[in-house]
Amino acid sequence: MISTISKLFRLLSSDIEPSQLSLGITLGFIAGLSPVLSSQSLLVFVLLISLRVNVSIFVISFGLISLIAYLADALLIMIGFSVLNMPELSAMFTDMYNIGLWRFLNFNNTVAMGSLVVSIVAAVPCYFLSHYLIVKYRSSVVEKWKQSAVFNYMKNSKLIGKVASISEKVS
Amino acid sequence: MKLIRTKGLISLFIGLPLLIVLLVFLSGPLLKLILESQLGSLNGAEVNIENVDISYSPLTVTLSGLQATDKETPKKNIVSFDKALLEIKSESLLKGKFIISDMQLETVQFSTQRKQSGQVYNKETAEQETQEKNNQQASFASGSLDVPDINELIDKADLKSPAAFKAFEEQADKTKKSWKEVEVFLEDKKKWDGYKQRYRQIKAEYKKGNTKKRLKALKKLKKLNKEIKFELKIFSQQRKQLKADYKNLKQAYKAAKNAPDDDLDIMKNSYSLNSDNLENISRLIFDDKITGYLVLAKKYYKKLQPYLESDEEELVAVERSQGKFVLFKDRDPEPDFLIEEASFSAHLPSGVFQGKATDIASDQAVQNKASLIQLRGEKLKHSKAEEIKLVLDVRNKKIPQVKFSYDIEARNISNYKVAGGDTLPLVMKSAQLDLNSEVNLIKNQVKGHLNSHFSHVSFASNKDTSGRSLSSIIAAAFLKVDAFKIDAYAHGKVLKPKLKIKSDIDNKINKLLKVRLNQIREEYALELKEKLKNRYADKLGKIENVMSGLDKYKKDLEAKQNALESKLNKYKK
Repeated sequence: MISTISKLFRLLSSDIEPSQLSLGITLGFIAGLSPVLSSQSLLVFVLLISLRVNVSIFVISFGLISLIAYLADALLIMIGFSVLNMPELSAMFTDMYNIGLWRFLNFNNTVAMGSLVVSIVAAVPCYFLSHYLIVKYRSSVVEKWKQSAVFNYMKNSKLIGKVASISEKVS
Repeated sequence: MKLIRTKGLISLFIGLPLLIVLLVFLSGPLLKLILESQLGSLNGAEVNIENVDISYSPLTVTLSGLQATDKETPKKNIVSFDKALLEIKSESLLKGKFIISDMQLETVQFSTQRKQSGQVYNKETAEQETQEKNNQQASFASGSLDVPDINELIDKADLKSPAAFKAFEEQADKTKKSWKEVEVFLEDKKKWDGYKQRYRQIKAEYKKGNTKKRLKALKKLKKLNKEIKFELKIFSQQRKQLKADYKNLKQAYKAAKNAPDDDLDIMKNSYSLNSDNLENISRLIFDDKITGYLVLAKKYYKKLQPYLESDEEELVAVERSQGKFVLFKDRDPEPDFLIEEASFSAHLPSGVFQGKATDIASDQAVQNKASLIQLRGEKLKHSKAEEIKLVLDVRNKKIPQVKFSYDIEARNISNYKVAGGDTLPLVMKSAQLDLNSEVNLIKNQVKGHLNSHFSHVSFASNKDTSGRSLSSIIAAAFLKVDAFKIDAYAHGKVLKPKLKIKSDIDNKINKLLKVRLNQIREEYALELKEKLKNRYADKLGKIENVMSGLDKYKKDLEAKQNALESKLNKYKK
């Protein structure tokens, strides 16, 4: 857990494009919310391979969101159930229900539909928010930290260097 | 920034088809492994498949050389087939349904020999089926129905003849004694000569004498007459005595002579040889067979029972994180498993049967169609045609219905063991059978009938058909039957149905039995008569001799009496 957090901070502080990181976080968010066999998971898998996305941050994001999503299942089920029972969408869902591929992708599952809706609604804000936060983090927190006396002491300390290298090896 | 990951995109476009190609190549062996394992656990014994081929447009699975081990005889296959072609609806597979639109099975065989014994996974202890057969055959061995041994019967019988013979002998002795007295009386020569002398003397005295002497002679004559009258009176009494004695003797003689015949009648009535117990001979003989078929039917019903029982769908508690599925209107509803149409050829010992099956579904209610399995064989080894039809209707799971019919056209039967054992070894040597049967099963109630017609029948039995035991008589009667019908009806609870068997063989056998029984009765009576005659021959001969002796004796006595009487009458003048 500690190494994950340390890895996250290292990634945030690295030179990797903020858009790659925010896209990874967004895709991890969608995948973390959704059941494995669902249309959005399939889409995430394709996007993950074909787009320049940071896979490490995707994995961290996916893991963290999965934990939170488990707690949010009740909410996802409620949303999914409400959407699937909307009379306005009933005809469309019936059409989809009669198509094998959609049935295979479990579109009529309340968790899958709930997570899809939440993903659609939250993906774009998630991308921009994470992008903004990364940029902000780098410009304010990282820059200030690099200029601090503690950072300079630690940078020059041989002991801390050794501890860091051992920790690196252990992790 | 370049958004597209070129390498990733290339690997996606190359890797995915490669993965698909790999899966296509591996799908056959993979499916083979899965099917062998799943079918094996379903069968309870090893299932081998030689090869599995899958083609994808349309999705077709070809199974070659399937052999399913018979778990009760692992050296044999319970079923095997050369090839099965399954056309599967791929669209339905995505919906999680296994729909076989067309299935063709080639060379289905049962009970074939395996090269190696198959592994048995869960060997069930062989179910001991309760033999519900009423062993009515035992009644054939019943001695009470058989003709008794003549000597034994004579020894045990309370015969009248010895008493009659004794009575005759006593009467004869008494008569002899009585007649001896008469004879002694008649042969008293001195006495009768005395009368003669006296008569001559009186006559001479009368002729020669004077009046006085003549009067004296007349007096003497009067006295003589009186004495002769007395003797004649004795004669008369003796005649009456003789007549009475003879009458009694004749009666005793008649009784003694008729006694063996009377005994014969008594003995003939002392055993009952009739066909009253054989009113339902067909049931007696064929009940075993039909009960056997019922036991077999029950065995199959028990196997079928789980599919017929109402399995109310239980609502599976869905875990919270898995959510639940909202159902929409299915425009083309399909059950989870369905074989829309199947055709197959089954190689049975009697010949090749062509079969078809339609709508074999896991849930018939979805399509509202009952399952049908039909097998028909023509120009078979032993029959012209045979047809089996099974309709399984579980659309309403609360009232499952099964309709089974089996028809046979001109089946040649040879050496069919009708009744076994030493009691009545009866074999239908040859016959031609036409049969139609139908069983309807509604829930746990069964109603069925079987109509069979046996023609060109020839029975054989190694029982001595000229014998007099009941089994021999029945066997002999069967040998004369050339055609008969058997109709069986069953109704009631499926595991305990009431069975009714009707057959015209009852009448035929009974008629033949009656004729044979009458014949035997006559033969038996003659034999008994002969035996009795032999037993009493000496006695009857003696009686006859005694009687004829006494007859002669009587005549002699009467002649003597007559002679004496006429003489005495002369003296009276």
